[in-house]
Amino acid sequence: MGDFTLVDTLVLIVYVAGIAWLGARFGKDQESTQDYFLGGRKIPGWAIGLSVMATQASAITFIGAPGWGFDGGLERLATFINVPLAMAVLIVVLVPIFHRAGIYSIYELLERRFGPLTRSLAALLFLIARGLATGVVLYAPALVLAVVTGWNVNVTIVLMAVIAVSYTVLGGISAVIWTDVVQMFVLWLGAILSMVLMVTSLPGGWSDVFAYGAANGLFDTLDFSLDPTVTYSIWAGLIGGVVMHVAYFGTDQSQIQRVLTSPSIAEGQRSLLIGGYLLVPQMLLFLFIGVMLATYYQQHGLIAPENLNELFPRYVVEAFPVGITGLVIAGVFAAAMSSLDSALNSLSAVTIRDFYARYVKPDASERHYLRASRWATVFWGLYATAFAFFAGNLGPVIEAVNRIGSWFYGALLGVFLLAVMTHRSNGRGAVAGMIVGMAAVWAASQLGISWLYQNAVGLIVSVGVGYAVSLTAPAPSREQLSDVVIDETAPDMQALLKGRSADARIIGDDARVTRRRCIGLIVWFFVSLAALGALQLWANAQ
Amino acid sequence: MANAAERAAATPANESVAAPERLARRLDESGARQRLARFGAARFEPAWLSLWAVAIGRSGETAQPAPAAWLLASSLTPRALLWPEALAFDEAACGDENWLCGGDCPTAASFETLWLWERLARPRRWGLRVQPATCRPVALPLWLGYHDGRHTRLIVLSGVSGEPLASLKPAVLAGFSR
Repeated sequence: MGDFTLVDTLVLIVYVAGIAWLGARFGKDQESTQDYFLGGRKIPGWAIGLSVMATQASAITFIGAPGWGFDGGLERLATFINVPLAMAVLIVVLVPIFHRAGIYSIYELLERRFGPLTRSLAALLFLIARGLATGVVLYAPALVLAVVTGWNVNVTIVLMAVIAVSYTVLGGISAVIWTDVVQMFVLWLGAILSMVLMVTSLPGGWSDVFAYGAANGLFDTLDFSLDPTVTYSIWAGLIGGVVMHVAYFGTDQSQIQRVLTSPSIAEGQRSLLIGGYLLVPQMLLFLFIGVMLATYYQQHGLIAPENLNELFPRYVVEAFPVGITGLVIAGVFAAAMSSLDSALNSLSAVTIRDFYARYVKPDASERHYLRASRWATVFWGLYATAFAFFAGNLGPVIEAVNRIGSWFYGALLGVFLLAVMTHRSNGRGAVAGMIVGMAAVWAASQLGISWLYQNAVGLIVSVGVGYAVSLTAPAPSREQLSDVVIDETAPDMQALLKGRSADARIIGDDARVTRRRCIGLIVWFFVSLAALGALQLWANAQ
Repeated sequence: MANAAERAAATPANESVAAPERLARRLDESGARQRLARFGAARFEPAWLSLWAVAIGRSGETAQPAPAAWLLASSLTPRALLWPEALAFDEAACGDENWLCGGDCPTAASFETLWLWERLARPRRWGLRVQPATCRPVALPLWLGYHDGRHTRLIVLSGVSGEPLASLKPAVLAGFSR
């Protein structure tokens, strides 16, 4: 114990090589960008759902969340408690429209609805935000490896980028999703192993953890303060957090692209259900590891490292048996690569679909676009690597990533809601809404209010300004509304269609299933809330 | 709606309008079921929609024997379908199940306008022109899907390519009403 031994190194190498081999295998039969970016639209919902989970449990969560738990207990769960509600909104509002539109990049829908300027602006914002975040995603695990092995951080960044870029270039989104499925299990195995080993190292086991957590207020998750400067109040989590997660999972190409790979709307919705049910427990798991680490450090009289991101990996190397250390660090790698690969593939998709095929070479063959897509993946890998070299100066890593996103997410979601929910909005309003919405987020960030509220500010301002400015230009044409409007709503036509539908052959019963799924997610939200409230009440009664 | 003189310019002179010939259905039932499920349909049925086809070729050429493409439309379709090869009919197809009248024959000017939209999207075909004399009725195979939610939504799928054809929805709905 105490070192990253040769056996650990071998475990890590075997794992990483295995993932690279698995990912590369998917490149063999790819002939078009539909294969490369959408996996031929035949990937099952459960695999997509696990992939979304793996991406969420990225290295920055794997490393950062135990640091959060150590520092503030479960309070930051307020940011994630809203995920079931956000998933229900996506399942009902955005997924059916995106899927029916048959698009590769969701920003294509904005061109059909608002025109090329809105599409290009939204796609450009995505490239900037996701490109920066990808650099951070690469930096975090490299930092861990440097702490664990003593290697140079920059060399580690380059090594990780080469591995992830290689299999993503060869295998596209299929490689991303199926390697994520494997990595998801490694990641959870690493986290659960850590918990078990930590508990066994405490004399009183679980009772020590709960006693320490209760005594130090680490189980105080629900803060009902109405003060907008309280960062992790339940209201900030509900109002700002729902907006942030709907925007993140619904308007960030790196997330929603995977939902578009499903063979049907129902499968796409199923993939989001997995995240809706499991993301809160997953975050709870990582935060709880932080609480356990706090207990461990207190009992052993240890002093925490200045950078809390190093807390968990340091503990792993110092306390875990040989071989297990390698496996847990492989879990960190798994998390890092699962975030990096999906980001690279989506950055490539937007670059090729929204810019290259739109403006540079609109009439090329599928083979040409496939080759260009692979080169775009390489380009973004290089960009992320270069940015990762500077990520160390951005402060606590996980917050940095969320902050980059929060500048854009609210305004971007506002534009998509304008596209889908209103029939009067047009291109002029959408562009104005997006720009003013982002300016409002910047202004809100100067007021000292919780950063979670900034997403809601961006959404409200972009929708309000976007709609008002739309009134100064002509209404959109019938064709521009074709993706979001049902032509056949007249009562007599509905009666006719219902009659025909009743006589037609059955495919499935997705509408009713979707309703049940959404109700299930809302129930799950309240169950989670009640469980956390009960834990808090119990802790405060001790 | 076209007046009689305009329509006469678009339909072959001194010919009574023949019964539409059926284009070959290439997407079978299981394929249609799979694709319609992708679009959220809960129920489905086959259908035929009568449209009007006009050949596209170089100016001054007769469209026969090998037009560069065909344009399929009716007076009710906001956009035309571009058929980039020879029309492939299925002589053996029969039965009257879900035969929908897709609307009147567009005027020659309407076909020109529809072709202008297509040419804007495909600049390489700029030199080709509509050949009004070749206008003929055809029946396009469709698969119709129904999504039962708050409103029942109609999904129109091509029975040839399997692609969703939103531009045919007005014609299909009009066909239902008739």
